[in-house]
Amino acid sequence: MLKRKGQVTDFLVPGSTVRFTHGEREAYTAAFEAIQPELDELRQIHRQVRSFQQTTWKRRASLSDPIAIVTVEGIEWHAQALLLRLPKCAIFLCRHPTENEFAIIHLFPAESAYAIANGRDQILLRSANPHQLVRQYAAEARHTLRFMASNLVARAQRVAWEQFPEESPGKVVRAISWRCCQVVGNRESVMEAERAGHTARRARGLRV
Amino acid sequence: MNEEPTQVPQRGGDTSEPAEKQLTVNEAAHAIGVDSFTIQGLIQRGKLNPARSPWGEIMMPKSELIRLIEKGR
Repeated sequence: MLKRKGQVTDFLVPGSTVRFTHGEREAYTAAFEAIQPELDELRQIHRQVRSFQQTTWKRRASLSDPIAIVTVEGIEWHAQALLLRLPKCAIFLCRHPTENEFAIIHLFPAESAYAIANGRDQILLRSANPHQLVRQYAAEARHTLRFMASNLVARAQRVAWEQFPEESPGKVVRAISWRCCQVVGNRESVMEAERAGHTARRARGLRV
Repeated sequence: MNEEPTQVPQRGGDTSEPAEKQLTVNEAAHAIGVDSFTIQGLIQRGKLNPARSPWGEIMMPKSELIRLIEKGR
């Protein structure tokens, strides 16, 4: 039976070899529950990004009929593919109706305060080469996902350190950080959140 | 990331002005009718300037959201 500080380490973090005591497990559960819905959302978006970046997007001649018409600044762009279906918004790969040009267009919910003020559609990127365009957008989307994961680690960190300061919060946060990294596939950017938290703890005089 | 979030100023109890209301990314998304991914994208494209909590969590000053909505009108 494995023990630490006299406590049995009986909880194995899912998908890892990290073991927690009962108290650490409680801290881990509380911190993880604080981010779980958003981590699930992040996982779904990541799957979609992986899927569309593996597709080969060819030039105009081989693209299929439009699935929708998206009007931006008076131009009726032909939506060729739905790249991302987000909880409230959608991202399309669109083709210009007359020119050899493609665009990544973000559609906002028509009734949202943002769309009412800024318009329902927004061009994010444009290029004559759809494959390059999609690759560039995939890189941006992955960057956004890493940014989101890093933010979730920061929130989990707050829960662990504020509510469970005696239950190895650093270790708990590392385990959560590791799970977030698994979702977005990048260790370094998520670690940034841990470093930021370390700075915050030093500023408050807390010891790891 | 294009925009480096700034640290949330910590205000003491004796300041005359109360601290500005700050929202989490989720709350900010709900407030303007979009999702968290979209809020993070707006931050990365420099359309929203976030702050950070002492723990490193991104916080959105309410004034930033108001600016974003009013700027478009």
